[in-house]
Amino acid sequence: MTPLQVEIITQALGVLLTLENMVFIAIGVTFGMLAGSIPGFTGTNTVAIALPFTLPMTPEIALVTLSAIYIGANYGGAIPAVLINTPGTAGATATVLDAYPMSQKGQASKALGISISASVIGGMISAVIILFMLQPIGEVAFLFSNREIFVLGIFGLTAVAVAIGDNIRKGLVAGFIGLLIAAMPVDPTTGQRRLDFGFFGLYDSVPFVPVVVGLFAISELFYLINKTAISEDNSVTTTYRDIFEGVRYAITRPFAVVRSMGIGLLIGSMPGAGTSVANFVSWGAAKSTSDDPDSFGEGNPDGVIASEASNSAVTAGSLVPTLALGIPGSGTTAVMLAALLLHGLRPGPQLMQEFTLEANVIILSLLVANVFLLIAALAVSKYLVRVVTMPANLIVPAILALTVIGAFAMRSSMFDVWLMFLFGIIGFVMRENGYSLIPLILGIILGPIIEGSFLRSMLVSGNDPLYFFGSSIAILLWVLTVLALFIQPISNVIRGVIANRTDYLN
Amino acid sequence: MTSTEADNAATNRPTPSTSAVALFRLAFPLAGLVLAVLYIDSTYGRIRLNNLYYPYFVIGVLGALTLSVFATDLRQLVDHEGEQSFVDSIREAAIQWKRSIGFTIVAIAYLWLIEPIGFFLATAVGMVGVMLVGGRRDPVWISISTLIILVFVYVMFVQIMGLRPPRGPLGL
Repeated sequence: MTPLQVEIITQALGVLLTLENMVFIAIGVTFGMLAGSIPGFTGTNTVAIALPFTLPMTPEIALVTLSAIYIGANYGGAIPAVLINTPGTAGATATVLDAYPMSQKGQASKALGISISASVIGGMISAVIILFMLQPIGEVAFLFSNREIFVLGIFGLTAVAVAIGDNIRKGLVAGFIGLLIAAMPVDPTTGQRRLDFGFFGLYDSVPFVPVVVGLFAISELFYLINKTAISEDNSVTTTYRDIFEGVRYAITRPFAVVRSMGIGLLIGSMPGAGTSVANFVSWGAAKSTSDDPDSFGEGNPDGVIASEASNSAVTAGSLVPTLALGIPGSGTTAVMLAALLLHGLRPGPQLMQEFTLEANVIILSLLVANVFLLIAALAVSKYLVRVVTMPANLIVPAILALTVIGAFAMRSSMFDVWLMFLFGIIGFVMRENGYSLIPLILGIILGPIIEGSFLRSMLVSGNDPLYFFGSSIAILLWVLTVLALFIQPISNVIRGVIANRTDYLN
Repeated sequence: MTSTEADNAATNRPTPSTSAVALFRLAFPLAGLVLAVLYIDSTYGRIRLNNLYYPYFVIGVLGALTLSVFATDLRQLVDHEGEQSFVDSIREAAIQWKRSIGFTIVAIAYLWLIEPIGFFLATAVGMVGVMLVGGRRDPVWISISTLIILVFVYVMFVQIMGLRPPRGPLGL
């Protein structure tokens, strides 16, 4: 570790370790855990709803609070996975495989204890690793000029469209519609109006917070309203003694925790790869290296460790492409990207140059949030079966009221509230037709940055389009973009040829 | 296959008409194309071309991608054998999504009421409406939960954050 790195981390700790931040971290973790434990209500939705609440906060407190909510929501998903056989978030899908069978064997408390400790240990170690990686990432970021930022934006959209969802073209359509929506306000160089439909609310920029809240939270309500109760089963009993036995079990298996954490960190740091991928890969790795692979899926505690340690490491890992490149590693980090913009931090390579301290504060806050998670989870997990069985017809109106006032709070404008609801309907139509929401939101958030880089590059080059191929980094990014576009079709063709050959040989 | 189509297949319901499926499936990319056309109509000849390279590059790529998605979807729609008429398909979808549609209507009414009657009164009406749409009928339960949420929103947003949501004639 270099002296500069030590100095920045010390400064970041000074900013982070205030009473105010600690209170907001505690509130954030608890709120995230409660919301994340509601099945069907993801960490992304939770952070999206909380986004307008952070408006009056300073950037540091806001980002620390949202990171804490992210950590809490990520863990919260494990609670219904253990108690009612329903993952609260996509990241807890593999947790169900062993945690619920444990619950059925009367080991619900032990499964909760394992999930808490594996999540906390995995989350803390991964945060420390990312902290040490920030400076090298920042040094690479210095190599990016406007030209590279433009190509990086195109690559980011492509990578996310390829990694998320089944259909690359649908992902790209969503991403480019996002870019077009972002280009609707005034021309950034001349100030001439482009396409604002006469709404002053769209005059200088598209308000992305109502868009984010609408796409993620409101669209979810159209599904949630159709559920009467998420689960009627609240008969599970838990004890603190058994929860602590679970904690002890995970602590005595450091290799399993570290291996799962490593997988989560690696997969999380790939743009577009999410927690659901990481926890299944980690669970599969644990099963294949186990002496007793057949017990996985039947209530093996090591399966819970594999899933939970990896999904909490994804939280830290997915912040790497988000902070360093402006490419979100997951839906939740797409919302975090919006939070950065909301609080004046421009995402992309410049973030690591201009806001090194803030980036360090965010990563350190993950570390502190995990400590609070340990305390909060041990204290209240036992009682959360009441929350996960809460009727949907109470949750939906409460979320509607909170999102309406949240969207209004941004600019005291009813236009933003209507815009939020419109994007809720758009989000529902997209989800019903297999379009991922993340490329659309990424296009809207990154649009002004990509357009600004494009215009400045054209100005520098005298409108020469070949300028975008004029550096080794830009060429590398174009090659990666083409590879990302064609890797899936090529692999499909290869798989088809292999399948045909196999059929022929058989 | 959309979740609605998957449900139909799983429950052996008659398949919806091709035009109804096309209407819903192509709605999003079609909206993107309409937006692109409106954009060109609003900017071409009014803003100098140098400043339009970027948005027109985006529109060009979007157009090509959308046509490619259309081609794939239309090819699938040609093979689709609809058993219901267009009207029956829409009616069935409306029945299947009746709560979501009810929620949409109540939410629009709620948003529309905020400015004339004030945020808190409108929220009370909206919350009761959404709970009724969601199947909740117990008046005591509805009243208590509405009151709790309103008090929370008042304390959090008005008292702590200092926000001034729209007020109606009663000052609420």
